[in-house]
Amino acid sequence: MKVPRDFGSLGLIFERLDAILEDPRVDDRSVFVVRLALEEIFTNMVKYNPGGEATIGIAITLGDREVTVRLVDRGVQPFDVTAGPTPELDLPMDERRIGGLGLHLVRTLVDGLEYAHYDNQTTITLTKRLER
Amino acid sequence: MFAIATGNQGEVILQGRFDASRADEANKVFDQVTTTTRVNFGGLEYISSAGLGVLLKTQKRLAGTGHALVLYNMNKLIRDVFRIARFDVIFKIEEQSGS
Repeated sequence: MKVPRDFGSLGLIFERLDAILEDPRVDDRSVFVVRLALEEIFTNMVKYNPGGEATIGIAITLGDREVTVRLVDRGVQPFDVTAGPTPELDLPMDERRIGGLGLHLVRTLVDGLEYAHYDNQTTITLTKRLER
Repeated sequence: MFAIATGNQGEVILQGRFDASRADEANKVFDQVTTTTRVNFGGLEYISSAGLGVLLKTQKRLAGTGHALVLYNMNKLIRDVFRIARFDVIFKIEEQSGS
């Protein structure tokens, strides 16, 4: 699916995701993790690549043993979501910042996270193994 | 679906899914909170970093006057998110509420 580069697209994205993950093979934790990871990556694209193309491509696949989500963002600069420092989590409350927290959650919760950038196009693939 | 409301004991009640598209709506309610306030997570099934951001902003502001949010009835998945983000040391999180 291709969705407008806007937080408002989350409704449509979740609708599609819910329909695919309604399958009884998919455990509750995997549903939660995939929703969260997809939202965090998508909202990062919206926030940090405002000059990219008008739509972002999202493909969701339910396999035998895992769910895979691929996001494609065109007309953007490179930003490797798999690299980069973990945010400072042990600071006292008044020094804690929200920046980097979304990606930290994604990296901790998903089983696979891949990033590729070529010709102004970023492709991010995340994988969550189904649990039983 | 997301709903945020104030209960008749002054607690904030969250329901449904708290995602990035709901942050503005949530901020409007949390901006009204000025004293120590309980937040009922019982009906909330999902939260992302946007939601954590609203809560953190509120907690920081309340700390200025010696107040805080008290979070209760979280499901296990949301509890895990708080733990991974180390928000469980920033917020008082209660297990099953007495009522």
